[in-house]
Amino acid sequence: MNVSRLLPVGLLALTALAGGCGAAGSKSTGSVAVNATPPAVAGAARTGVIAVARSSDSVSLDPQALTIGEDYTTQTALYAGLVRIAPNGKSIEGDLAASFSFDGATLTYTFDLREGLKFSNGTPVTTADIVYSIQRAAKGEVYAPMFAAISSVSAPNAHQIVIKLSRYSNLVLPILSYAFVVPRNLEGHTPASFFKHPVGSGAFVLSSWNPGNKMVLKRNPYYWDSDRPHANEIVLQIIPAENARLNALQAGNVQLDEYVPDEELPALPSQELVKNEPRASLLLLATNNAHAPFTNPTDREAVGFAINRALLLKTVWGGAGVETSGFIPPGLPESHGVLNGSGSWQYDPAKAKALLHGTNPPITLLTSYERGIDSTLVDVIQRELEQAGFHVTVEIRDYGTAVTQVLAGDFSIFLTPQTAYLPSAGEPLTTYDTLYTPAAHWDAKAVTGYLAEYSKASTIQQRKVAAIAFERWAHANWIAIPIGNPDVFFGVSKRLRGLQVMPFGTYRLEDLQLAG
Amino acid sequence: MHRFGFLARRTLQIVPLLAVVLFVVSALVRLVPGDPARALLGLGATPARAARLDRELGVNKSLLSSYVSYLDHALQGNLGNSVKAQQPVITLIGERIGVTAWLLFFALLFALLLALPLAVVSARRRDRPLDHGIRGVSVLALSIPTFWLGLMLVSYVALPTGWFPVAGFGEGLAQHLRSILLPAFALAVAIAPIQIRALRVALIGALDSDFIAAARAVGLNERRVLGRHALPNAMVSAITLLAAQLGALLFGEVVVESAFALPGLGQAMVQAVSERDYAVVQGITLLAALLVILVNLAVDVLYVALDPRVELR
Repeated sequence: MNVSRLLPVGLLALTALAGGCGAAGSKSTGSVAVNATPPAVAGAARTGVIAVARSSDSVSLDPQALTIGEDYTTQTALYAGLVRIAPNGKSIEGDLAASFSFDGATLTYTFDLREGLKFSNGTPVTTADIVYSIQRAAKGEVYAPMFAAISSVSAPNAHQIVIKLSRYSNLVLPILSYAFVVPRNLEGHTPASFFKHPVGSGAFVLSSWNPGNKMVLKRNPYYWDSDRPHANEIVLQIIPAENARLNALQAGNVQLDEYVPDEELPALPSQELVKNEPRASLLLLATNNAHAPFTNPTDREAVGFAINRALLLKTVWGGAGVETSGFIPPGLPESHGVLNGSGSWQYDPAKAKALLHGTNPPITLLTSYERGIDSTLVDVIQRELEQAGFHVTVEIRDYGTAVTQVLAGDFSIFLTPQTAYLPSAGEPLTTYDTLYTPAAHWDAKAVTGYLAEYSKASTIQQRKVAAIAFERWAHANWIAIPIGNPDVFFGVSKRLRGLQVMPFGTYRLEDLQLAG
Repeated sequence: MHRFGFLARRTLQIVPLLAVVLFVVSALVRLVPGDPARALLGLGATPARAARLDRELGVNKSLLSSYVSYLDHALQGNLGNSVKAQQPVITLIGERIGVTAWLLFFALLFALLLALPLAVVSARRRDRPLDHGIRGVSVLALSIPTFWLGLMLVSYVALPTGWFPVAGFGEGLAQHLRSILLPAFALAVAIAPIQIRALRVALIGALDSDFIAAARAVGLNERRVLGRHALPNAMVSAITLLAAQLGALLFGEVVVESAFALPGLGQAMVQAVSERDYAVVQGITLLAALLVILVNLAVDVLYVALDPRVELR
């Protein structure tokens, strides 16, 4: 059978699923079917080695330095926290804690620990280790603002951890999933030395790491879940070249390719592709609102009306993705129905043209080719902006250069992905507050206010209301222009089981298993 | 004594040569736009963290200041630390040089195995159809981009047969050999055509010379004439060319390592450039420059062994 002919059928089926689901929030049912391989068999014999091809290596194994997706997948395999993100990526479940509860005001969290917890070196995990680890995580630069509501962490006895908040914050529980537990005081080592050979209590232990080449993880015999991991060994092989990763998968040298770009999709039959959808990621046209012409909201509005999101989805992403639901990506719980019925983010080139009054403002479209962004997308956006009347110069830079330019204010419009790693709209709101507000000159007072409103919302309904309020304000002021949520694909061997990709593009290595 | 003086003089010349190469590389790396800390840490990192990493990288120092400091450390055997890999560059090179050495060795071996017999046949059948055929195929092979040949070998040899891994270097001698054969062949095809043509011309020249006519006149058989007299003379030019091709070979090695996902110095170089890992770029360039210089020195010495008429000055 012609392999390449299978893909359109597969894509059609996937697109039908996505389209049939309607609004983003109702997609959870469909997503389980398409973003997972067949489930692992519980209690089955452990399989040997699973090799995974990834495009870039971890930056660090220090939880304080979590930055990129590769770090999240690796660190959740090496370490455990009190809680963790559930496999569907939508809720929080116990990890080292068997259960947890709150007081009436939700200002005191009590975590009941599992029995007999041990680190990968066989030493017991103590409450002192857990208290130390949470306090250490709260000092980390990346996520520190999300820990800010915690006033104390204590251990009333050897089986419980109590966390008290100075004010209610719904960000605390999600962020605790990245407060990975390590031995107190890092066993006397410096962080640089400890995290080269870290000791954790996750499903795996680091066996060897040849940076930029290969990382080998071996099963942690002391892991609290006796059914996990399914594999005795995971080899994370760094293969930057996209075609080389795909070749390795097809040759059977690896069983999982963490990223198959759009142009390589026809090389794999649909049953060997796993789609990451709905994603907790979106593509944004971030305008520099302190730089002409975008100091004028009307010109930003013109950009909004110039982009044909349906066309992007259909032609650029082959129907794999979501048009856009605003600034909170569809993979996050609060994204559901955010702009439902509001008529926002329409395509109206005539209106875009009219808004510019024939001024033909010159702009520079700055971007770097990242996941979901390629030359086709850039060409289409350039053409649409030019049709509206903008005079567009395109600057393709590597990611580091582009970010440097943005932070220096040396840009007029920046096409960039924005990804969240927690099942909470609080994470993108924090990013917008700390990063986009200063760089793209959003109204700091307003963004901080919406983040505060969101943080203190105690029910899912209240959180949705807070998220919608932010979305409406962002749209009314055209602070930036969301353009879509393309899906990304993982390539999998026919023998691989148990892969369930979370909306963040991460997954649990402990669930992977080989059939046969 | 002459030889010792020549060697000492040439060895001393290596140091300033390397210093110049290093300066040029340092300047070029600095010209690449962008912030190395941001390239490594991404948009999510705080400005404080990015600034700290920039300080560690010496981004704020002047080119001259960081160059002098690097040179000082390099002379003491310290090539700095890779910020991405969080390890000394010397260690990183040590971990990867084996793969590259395997690749270069087998590429040279295959190139020689291809070039030598084809050049001999071509020279002996001069201007006949076989000679034209070999020369035509050589031109064709020369025009094939190495990365394309690599992809073709993967698609039409490795994947259908399953005999050769297409990523990584494997564990143990047998897997190393299987991993290296196709990439080494791809690299060999890139350099063999020039070797064939150069060796053919040199052989024709040698076979037409008076000393070969004399050898034939005293009754030596053709095999002995070729093996003992014509080939050693022709090899002088082939070896010179090989030294000149080393630069191209190192470039091809970078491409081939990426196509076959071989964890050698070429792949490390590509990653380091994209991640602005200055120390790694400088370290590998220094090593490559040293290799080219040493090989050229070795070739000069080899001239004497192959042709006693050559004098070292």
